[in-house]
Amino acid sequence: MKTTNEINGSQLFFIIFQTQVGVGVLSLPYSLYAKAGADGWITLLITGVAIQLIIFMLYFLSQRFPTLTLYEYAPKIVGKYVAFVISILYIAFAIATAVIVLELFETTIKTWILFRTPMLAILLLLTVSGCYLALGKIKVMGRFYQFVSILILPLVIMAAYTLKDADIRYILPIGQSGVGTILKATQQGIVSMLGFEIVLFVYPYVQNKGKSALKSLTLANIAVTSLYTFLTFATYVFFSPVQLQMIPEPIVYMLKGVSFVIVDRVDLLFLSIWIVSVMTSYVSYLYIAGRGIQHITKRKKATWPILIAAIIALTFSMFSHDRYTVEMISGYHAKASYFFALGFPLILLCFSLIFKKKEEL
Amino acid sequence: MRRSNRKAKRNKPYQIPTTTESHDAFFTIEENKDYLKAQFHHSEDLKYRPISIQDIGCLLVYLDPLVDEDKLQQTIIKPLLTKDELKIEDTVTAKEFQRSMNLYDAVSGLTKGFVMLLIEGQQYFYLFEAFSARSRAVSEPVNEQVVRGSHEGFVENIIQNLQMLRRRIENPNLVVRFFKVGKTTDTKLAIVYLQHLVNPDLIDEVEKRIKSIKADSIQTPGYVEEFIEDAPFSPFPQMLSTERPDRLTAHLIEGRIGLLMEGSPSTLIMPVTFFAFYQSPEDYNSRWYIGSILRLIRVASFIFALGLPSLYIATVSFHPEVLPAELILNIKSSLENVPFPPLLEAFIMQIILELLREAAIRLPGPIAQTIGIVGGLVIGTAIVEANLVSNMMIIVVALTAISSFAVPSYEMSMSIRLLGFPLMLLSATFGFIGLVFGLSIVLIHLCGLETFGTPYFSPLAPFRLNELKDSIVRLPRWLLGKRPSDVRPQYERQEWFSRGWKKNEDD
Repeated sequence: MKTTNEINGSQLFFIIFQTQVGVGVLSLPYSLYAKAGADGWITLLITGVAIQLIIFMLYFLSQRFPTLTLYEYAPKIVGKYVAFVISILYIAFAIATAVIVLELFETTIKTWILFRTPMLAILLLLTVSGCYLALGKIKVMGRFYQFVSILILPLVIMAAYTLKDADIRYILPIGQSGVGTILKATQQGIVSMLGFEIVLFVYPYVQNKGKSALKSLTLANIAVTSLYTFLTFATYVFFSPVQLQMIPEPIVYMLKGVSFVIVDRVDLLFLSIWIVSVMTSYVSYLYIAGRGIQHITKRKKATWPILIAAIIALTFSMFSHDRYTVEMISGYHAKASYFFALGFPLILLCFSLIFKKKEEL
Repeated sequence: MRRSNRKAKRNKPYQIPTTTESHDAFFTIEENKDYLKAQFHHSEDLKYRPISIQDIGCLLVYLDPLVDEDKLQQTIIKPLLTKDELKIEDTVTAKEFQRSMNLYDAVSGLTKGFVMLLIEGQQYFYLFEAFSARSRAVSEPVNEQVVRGSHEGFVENIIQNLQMLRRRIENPNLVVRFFKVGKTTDTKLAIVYLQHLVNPDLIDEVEKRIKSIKADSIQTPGYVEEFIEDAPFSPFPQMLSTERPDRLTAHLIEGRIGLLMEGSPSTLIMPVTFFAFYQSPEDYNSRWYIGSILRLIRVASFIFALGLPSLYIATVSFHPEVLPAELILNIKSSLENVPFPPLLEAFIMQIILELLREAAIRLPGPIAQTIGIVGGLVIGTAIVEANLVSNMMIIVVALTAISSFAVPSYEMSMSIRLLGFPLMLLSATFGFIGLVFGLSIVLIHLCGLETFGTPYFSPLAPFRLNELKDSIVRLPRWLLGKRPSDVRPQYERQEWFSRGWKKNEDD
C-alpha cells in the first residue's frame, strides 16, 4: 500500500538536531578551549546566533523551490553544467563528512571501549546499521531520529550530575579572553555544529512548509546551541584551566569520575548513547550523498546510490589514521564546509534572486 | 440540554440509526429489499428466502448468523407453507412477533435476530423472533485467559463466530464480506468491519490482497497472514491473532478490519500496531491505574525479554567495571567454575528453555507438570551444581523467559525471544557497542515497518503524544475521546462527554 513520504514539523526538528549533534560533541570543549580559553561557552552562544542567520538564508533558498532538493533546483539557477559540478562537490563533501565521522568514531571507540577489535569490524558495524537506516525513506529517518532523541535526556542528566563538583571560579572572570578572541573562535563552533545544511535536501518532504518549518529549524538551532553550551559549560566548571589544556575529550573524562548506585563507569553508558548520535549524523550525510548520486545517475531508487556512497566512505576510512591525520583532515574539511553550508547556498540564492528564478507552482 | 438534543439528531453514519431515520415501507418487495440491502451495505450475511403464499410472492429476510435454523424452519417457514394462508398472525408460531410499516423497525429488528416477512403489494411487514440463543459450550481460549471479563471464545464455525460478533455489535453498519479462497479447498473467509468508520482505502486494499490469493488450500489463518502481510521477512507479527470476541470487537470499533475463517477459532485483526500486542481486554476491566501499571509492566517485559541476556553477556564479558565492586565479586565468583563463555551459557539455557516449552505444549496437563518439575528443579539445580551454567545466568534466563511470557500475544512473545539470540551474539562480540547497534537495527526496523499503510510503531514512531494515553498506559475511558489515528478512521471521536452529568450536579 502506497503511503506518502513526508515528515512533520517535529520530525524536521529532530532530523536537524540529530544531524548537528554528533561526533564533534566529545572534543568540542577541548578545541574551543584552545581557541577562546574559559570563555568558549560564550563563543557557542554567538555561534548559535550566526547559525541562525545562515538558517534564514537556507530557508529562503528552500522556500523558493519548495518541492525540490538542491540537486534538483541547482540546474534551474546556474545551468546544467555548473549544477553538475556543484552536485558532485556536494556529494564529495557529504562522503568526506561521512568518512570523518567514521574515523573519529573508530578512534574514539578504540581509545575508550574496544582496544583490540579490528578497525574494519567497528567501521562495518556503523556502516551496516547506517545503511539500513538510510535505505528506509526519509520518514523512517525522521521517526528514528525523533525516537532516539529521548536518549539526549540521560546525557544531559549525567552531565548535570557532575555540576555538584563544579567550581564556578574556573570560568571567572567572564570575558577574560576579550571580544576579538571570542568572536574569532566562532569558526571552531560553527564547524562542530554543522549539519543544518541537510535542510536543503529534506525540505521538499516537509509536510507544512513555510513559517512552521522555519520554526522547527529555529528551535533545532536553539536546542543544539543550548545543549552544546551546557555541555561545554559543565566541563569548564569541572576541570581547572590547566587540566582542560591536556584533556582531548573532557566530557568522557568528567563522567569517568562519577558513579551512580549500580553504575560505576558512567562514561561507558555515555559513550553507548553517544554512538546513536554518531549514527544519526553518519546516516544524514549518507543520505545526502546517496540522493546526489541518485540524481546525477538518474536512478529511480536510492538503494544502490546509498550503498555506493557507503562503500566509498568505508574504503576511505580504512586508510590508516592516527589522531593527528584525522585532525589534519578535519581541518581541511572544516574550511571546505563553509562553502557548502554558507557559500554555495548563498550564491544560489543571489542568482535566483537576481534572475528571478523560482519554482512555478 | 441543548447539547444532548443536538447529539440525538446528529448520529454518526457508522453508529446505530436512531428513530429519526425511520422510513415508510414500500409496496413492492423489490424496493423494500433494495432499501434493506443499502441499509446493511450489501453485507453478505443478510439472507433472503422467497416463498409464495396463496400464489402471492413473499420474502423472508434475516441475518444468517443471528437466526436459529430450527426456529426458522419449525416456527416460520413450515407453518407458512403448510397452512398456505395469509392470516400470518395465526399461522406463525414464533414466540414474539411484530407488525410494522416502518423500515426502521425492520433494520433494528434484523440486527437483533428477527426474521422479516415481506408480502408483495402490502406496505406492512412482519417481524418474527428467531434469535439463536444456542450458544455452544463456550470455553475460554487457553492462550488468552483473563481474570475478569468475558470468557467467551471463538469456535471453529464461522457462522457462529459471526453471531458472537453480531450480538456484540447490533449495528446494521457491521458489514460482512465473504470470500472463497483455495482452489482445492474452497475455504470460506469473511472480513468484518464497520461501514462508514473504516478507511475505505483500507477495505479496498484488504479485499485486493485477499482476492489475489491463488493457492491450492488455505488451512489456517496463518496462510492468509503470510499471503497478505506487508513485510514477510520481518520477525514481528503484523496481524493480531485472537480467539476472543471481545478483543476483535474492540478493534473493529477502533476502525480496523477482522478476518474470520471457516474451521479456525483464531481470527486476524488488521492493521495493528506494535502496542496492540501488549494490550489485553482486561485492562479496561480493572481500575485505570491498575490497567496502566499492567501496561507499563508489559512494556518493561518487552525490554527485558529482548535485551536482558545480551546486557548481562556484554557486562560480564566486556565491561564488568561498569558494576560496583561488591556486585562484581558476586557475579565473578559464580562464574569462576564455569568453563564456558557467557554466550554459550546463555545459549544452553535458552535452548533448554525452548525445549521444555515445546515439550510441555504437546503433553496433557498432568504430564506437562512433570516436565516443569524435571526442567525447573532438576535441570536448574543440577546444571549449576555441575558447574555448566552459573547461578547468575539461570536468574537472567528465567527472568527473560518470564518477561517474554507476560506478553498477551503468543507470536509476539516467541518473536522477541528469538530476536534475543542475534543480540546476544552481537553483545558477545562487541560488548555494549554491539548491543547498541543491535537494538538500533531492531528499532530502525520497527520505525520503518508499515502494515496496510499504518506505521507499526505508532504512537512512538511517529511520535503522537496524545495517543500514548491508550497505548503505553491506559487512562480513564472518558479521557480517551479520540480513536487511534494510525488507521485513519473516518470519524475520530469515540466518546462525547460521558461524564457530563457531573457538571449538571454542580449547578
